[in-house]
Amino acid sequence: MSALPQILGPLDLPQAPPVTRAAATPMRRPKAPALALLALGVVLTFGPIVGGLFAKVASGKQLIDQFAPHMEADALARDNTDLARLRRGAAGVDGVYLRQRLPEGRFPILDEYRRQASGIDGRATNLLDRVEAAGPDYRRVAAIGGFDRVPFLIVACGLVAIYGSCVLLFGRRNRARWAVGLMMLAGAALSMYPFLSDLRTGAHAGERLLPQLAPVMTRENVRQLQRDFVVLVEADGELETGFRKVPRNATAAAGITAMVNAWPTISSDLASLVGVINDNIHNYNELEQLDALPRRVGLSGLAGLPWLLVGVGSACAGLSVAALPRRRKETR
Amino acid sequence: MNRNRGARPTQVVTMVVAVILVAGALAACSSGQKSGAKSNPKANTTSGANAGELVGLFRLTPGAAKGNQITGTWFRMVQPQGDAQHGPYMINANSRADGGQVTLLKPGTSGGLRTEGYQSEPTPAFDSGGHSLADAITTPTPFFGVNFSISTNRVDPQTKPAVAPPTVTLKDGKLTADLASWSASWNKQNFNQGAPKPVPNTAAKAPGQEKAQRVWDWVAGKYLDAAPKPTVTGSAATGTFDPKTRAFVLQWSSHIEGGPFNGFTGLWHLEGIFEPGQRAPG
Repeated sequence: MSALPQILGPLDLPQAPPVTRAAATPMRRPKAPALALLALGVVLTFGPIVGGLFAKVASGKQLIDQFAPHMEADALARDNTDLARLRRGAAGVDGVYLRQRLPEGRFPILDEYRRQASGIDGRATNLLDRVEAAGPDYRRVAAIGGFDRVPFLIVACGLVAIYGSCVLLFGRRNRARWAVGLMMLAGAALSMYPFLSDLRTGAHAGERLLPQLAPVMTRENVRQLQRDFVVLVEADGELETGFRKVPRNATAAAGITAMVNAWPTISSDLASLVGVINDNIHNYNELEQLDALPRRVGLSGLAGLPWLLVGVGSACAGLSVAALPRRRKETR
Repeated sequence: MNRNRGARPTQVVTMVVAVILVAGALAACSSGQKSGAKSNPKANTTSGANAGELVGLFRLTPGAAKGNQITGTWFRMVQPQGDAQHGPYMINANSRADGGQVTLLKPGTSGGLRTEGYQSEPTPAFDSGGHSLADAITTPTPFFGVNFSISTNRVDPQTKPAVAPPTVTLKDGKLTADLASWSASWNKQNFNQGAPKPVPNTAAKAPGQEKAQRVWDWVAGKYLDAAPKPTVTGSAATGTFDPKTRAFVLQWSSHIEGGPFNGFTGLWHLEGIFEPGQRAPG
């Protein structure tokens, strides 16, 4: 047992060479995309506030909501019935005038009514035709989900972009991935919103709706409708009082009676529609300005709005990925 | 035990004093209401109505027409681009007064206008034919075949802000009235016809904007010493008051803002006898 160490002899190990480790590649913070992200965030946060997007979108929503009762099929049918009754009434008055050879000046209010009746009928028919024609596009716009929340979504995305870009530029590296994830989520939400909310279809319809309603939504049109209303309401009064004594045949009597009896309904429907038009002229003008916003960046009106959101959301997500800190490539 | 006995007289005295004070305060309040005036610098025992705010019922005298002379309570409607003096006025075929240019009004179930409280429109406010059902201040009156009437409401049905109840103040024989809540209803439509006019609260608002605005107004008022925003605009109704007979006249014009009759103007003339009394129910 004691001879064993002698057989093996002394162990002479050579000096181990020093272990060398490759130096860690330094992390690089891409500044350009992070700064672009910061700028985008500022624009998205303050743009809607400075540009009045909240007010414009709220106005659009209010216009759509307030027109809703007038765009229903039964309301439009009632309006058409009102018009038909007015036509029959006007024809009845004409018939009595001709048959009885009533001189001009005996019923001055009805003289004026006879002069204006065809014009009033033409304008009312035109108004109803426009409202009816706008129906399908109106319904598509009304179907947009959460339209009045769009500015909030944009501002939220902007705030996330500002926060994320600050983390990427100045924050700790271990937070970078989390911040990028958050920004990608915000960008994706903005990009996906038009597809999830029917904004794409609704915005196209909205762009068509604006010129359809343009001749209706003016102060001059409201004033004209008010003048027509005054002529009608005073004529109705004359028909119910002084003109009652004038003899008439059955056809004329039926037309006049139908108009006079239906007058409360006719006047209510007409007053309600004129009121909604008058009270929404400002909202319409705001919606027109909203239509003009995408045009400033080279897109087509309201129809460009969904693509603007898709573009901005994608840019936010893309820039956040590009701004993620990464190792520098080794140089030889 | 002794301590309790000793405390009793003090408690009794305290209670008696408290009861006297409360009774005195109540008596002062009720006498103020009975006299029909909030402040009473110039007591007038004949009329029961004194300088200051007149609280009670402004009982309306029904409108009447004798030839060209119109008396009592009435209303005119001026067409847009017209003026109060020369018209053109709407010709109400249901009225014979001044060729239909004036619509005569009759007092409603309350007898007239109560101050310091609302005489709100009922629910529903209209029947199926669009006739107004509010009948407290004036009797519903035909206007182009459809009955219209008057109410005063906590929230104006057309312009939507909260408005103060009617108040009428007497000073040097002249009346000044805040009738911002005066609302006409006709054919399923409401028209604020007050003087002064309430500032409308009908503009489109983003979700949460109203609450944010309220918070901001509170902060601005509390920390920035900002004056509260005006809730009414324009001039008040004016009139005359005879302290001996308590006969009053109130008149004003009110421009319709918004709705189908945007731009028309209502001219209102109330006449009657003031009856000091209690506030209108809320």
